[in-house]
Amino acid sequence: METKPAITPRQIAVLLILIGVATLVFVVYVLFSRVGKNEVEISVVPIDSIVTIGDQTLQDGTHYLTPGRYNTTTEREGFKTDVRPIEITPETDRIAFAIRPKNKLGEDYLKDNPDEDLRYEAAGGIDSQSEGKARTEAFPVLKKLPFISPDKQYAIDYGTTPDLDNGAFVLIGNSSTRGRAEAVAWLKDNSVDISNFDIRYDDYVSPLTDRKTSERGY
Amino acid sequence: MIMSVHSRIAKLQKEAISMKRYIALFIVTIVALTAGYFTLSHYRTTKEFTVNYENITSATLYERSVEGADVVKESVASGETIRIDQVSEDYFVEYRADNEFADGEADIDPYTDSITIEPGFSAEKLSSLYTVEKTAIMASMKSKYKDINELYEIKNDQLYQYGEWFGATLQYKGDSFFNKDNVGLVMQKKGNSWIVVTDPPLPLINSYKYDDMPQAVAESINKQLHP
Repeated sequence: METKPAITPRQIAVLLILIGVATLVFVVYVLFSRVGKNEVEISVVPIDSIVTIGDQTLQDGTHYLTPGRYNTTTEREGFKTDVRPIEITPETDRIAFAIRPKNKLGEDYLKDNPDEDLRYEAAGGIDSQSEGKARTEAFPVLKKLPFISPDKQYAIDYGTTPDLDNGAFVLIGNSSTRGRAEAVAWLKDNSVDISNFDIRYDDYVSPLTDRKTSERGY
Repeated sequence: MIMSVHSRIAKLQKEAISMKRYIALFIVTIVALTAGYFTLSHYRTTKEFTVNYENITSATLYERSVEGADVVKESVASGETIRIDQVSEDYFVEYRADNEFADGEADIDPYTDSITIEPGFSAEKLSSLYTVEKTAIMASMKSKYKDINELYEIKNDQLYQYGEWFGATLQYKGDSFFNKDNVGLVMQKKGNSWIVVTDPPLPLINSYKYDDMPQAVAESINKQLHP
């Protein structure tokens, strides 16, 4: 007499197909949820602070974010809430949010968690590194600075300031009239949009505002 | 016995048909998911962008490429929404303006969802406005910089935008050896007065430094100063 197996081969095949479809749907869902987004490592100090980026509430770790401009808020009990705008470009891969204690509760937390000190240092490193990276990506010429012309007619350097969106300005110095004109030509040759970048002169004196000094040269 | 063999064959055939059905369903599911993935990916990596304008007869949306620029959409109507890549600095709108307004191009900010183009007056219209304003502009300039006519020759003087911006290059003719640069001067009409914006005039004008100044003003003057 033929005994009927508990599970027929057909049932096994159906089960396998269902598992396959479910896995596929899951993989497609995961892939889809990351399409058009950057994998961004978010460092938060203290580690259990809550960061709001746009309408997403996140914690320390790796997240997938759509490039764009966002308002962010970082908060934790006992610490000063930090509110700042950020820009996530397709190249952004790391962002740090570090907030400082505002009362004894916050100070006590840091005393009890000495590891957070190292995390503050790392966050500072990420901040300055990503700022520098963003600046040189936006203005590749900065990698070539400082530059002194071979005939010493001018020198070009750059500085940073939080007052500007891109945080950088170019300074033309040690220059004569000819040198200043050549410096601008050099910047143009290096793809700098001279009309839309903060370019300053270190030693130009306008004859219209200080005629004596401009004619004397010092 | 024969009946038993027949019924077994029939059963196997039935199972095979059923299996084929499942395989077909599996393939259809894969194809549907793949198609869905690519369709949805397209929507996730692109955004809806609206072009608004006035005083323009025709506008074309371009995307910069290695070879130059590719047309994305010809004859974009004001208020029309187009799908473009999420964060790309390569898009721009080229437009032809109505009479009295200037043709031009407008870059698209990669982080916004719309652009509003308001073309400035045409060169002819600005030139006719300048003949009316010139005396007031020169008087204001002279009152701000008393030595200006002695030190510089005013060149390339013209109005910009809707006639509320003035720009000129000042060609040095004085005695300074160290600071004999040609410089750019920009003024703005506020109320009924013309005010010097670029004080002091510099060998290079950057609109970055002066919030309100249209970039086209700086570009035009810099082109004269640094051809």
